[in-house]
Amino acid sequence: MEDLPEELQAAIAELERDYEQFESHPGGANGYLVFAKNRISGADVAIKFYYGPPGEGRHDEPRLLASIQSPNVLRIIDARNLSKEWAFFLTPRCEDGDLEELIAAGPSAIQAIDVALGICNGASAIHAHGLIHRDLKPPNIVCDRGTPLIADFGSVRQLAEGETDVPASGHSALYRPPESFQTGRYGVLGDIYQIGLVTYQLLGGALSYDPLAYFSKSDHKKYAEITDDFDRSKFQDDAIHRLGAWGRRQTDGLQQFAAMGTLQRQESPTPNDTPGSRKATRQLGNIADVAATLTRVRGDTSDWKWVGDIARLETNDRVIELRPKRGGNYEPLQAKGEVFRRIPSIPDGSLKELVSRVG
Amino acid sequence: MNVLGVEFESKRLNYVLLVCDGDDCKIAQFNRLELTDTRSRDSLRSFQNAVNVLFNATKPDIIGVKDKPESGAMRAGAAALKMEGILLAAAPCDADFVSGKRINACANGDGLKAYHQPAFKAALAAFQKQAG
Repeated sequence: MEDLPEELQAAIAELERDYEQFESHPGGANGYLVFAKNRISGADVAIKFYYGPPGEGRHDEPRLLASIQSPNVLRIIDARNLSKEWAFFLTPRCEDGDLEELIAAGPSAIQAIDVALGICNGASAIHAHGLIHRDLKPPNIVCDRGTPLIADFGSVRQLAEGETDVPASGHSALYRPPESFQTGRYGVLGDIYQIGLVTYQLLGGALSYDPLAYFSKSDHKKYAEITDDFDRSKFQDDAIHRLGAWGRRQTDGLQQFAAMGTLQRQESPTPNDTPGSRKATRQLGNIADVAATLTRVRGDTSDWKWVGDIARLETNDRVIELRPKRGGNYEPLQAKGEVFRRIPSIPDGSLKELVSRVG
Repeated sequence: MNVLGVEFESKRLNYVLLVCDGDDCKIAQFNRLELTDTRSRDSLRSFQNAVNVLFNATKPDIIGVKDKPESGAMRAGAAALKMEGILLAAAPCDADFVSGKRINACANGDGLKAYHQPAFKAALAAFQKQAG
């Protein structure tokens, strides 16, 4: 708490009448995030302190959050002014953390699809109000007992009457849709693109957060010569843009995932394996199409899960594991009592082949 | 006026959205949802989410549902009845159950696959009843 500005420390001292067990959290973008427990109800809350000069848009985030009623959008408990510059709002604290943690834990294929459908539900409620989120990515989606909740409304914009897009957000180049790099604009399809990318990650798709991973050899040389932080950041964004604005790397992977039982975690992204693409967004023209597709993909998908580096499928009558071998192939085994035995009728093969045969 | 036509076919929910102005109706959206497992809580919740997305994205003023009997030899299956329950519980507007006779009185919709025709006709019949 000592790291917080004095004004916020004074606010916390006042909140101590009703709250206890204050705990600062590093995840507060555009402000400070503090967790606490209500002394009376025992409810765990998150307190977001935000800063902004006086003006009409200062309280946009809590106002927008409060305006959306959806089981997949984080709800506001309270909001208060502290001064002309500082204010805060309270939301429930979600014990499961954010989607980054769920992705790191390796959800099963069905769980991943269910979470994606929940995100679609929250996003559709936002769109129904004429709003666009513009920043749907794992750190901005929290999980409460398995239910995803869209949480960060800092980039949300209202569509003007008759308009179909708004200026693109300058944040998160990795999640920026290809058309936004080209036009500087962002529409509802941009949110669908981002949901596609998050779904790809939930299903085990690799997406490096290190901008240098997207550099060419010449990019590395040029980057080493840049000293200014802003210029370095801009160069990183430009490198992602130069990758064909992701267009070369991302096509309709959603169908591919469905076809191959969704297991791809250990394979890095190839030109054809990511869902949030221009082609995919053409095929999935609105968010209802995305949800409809996900319900059908769910029906075609076996519930594979990663346990360490082993792919595991548990059904009512059998447990199958695909264990990695040297050379990148996998060995199919089936549980017989306490012991796993090799499935004699199926030879070793790539993950894709075995998932298709066994699942 | 947005009119959502729905038909339950086995474990699938086929839908067609009509946007009607005066006597003129245009097909705006169509697709199909699927309920994968009728006795799994997660599966039912996911289907419920998809239905909510559908309502948020289509903002229907009325829903036309192709009627299926709840009893007798021609009764709907478990999946259809559960999907119908979820749809009605989440519906933001009234639902008009359209009989087979009213469905048959409607012409086919252009550019739709055969499995979307009953949903199209349910929407059209519901609109015609609403418009008087």
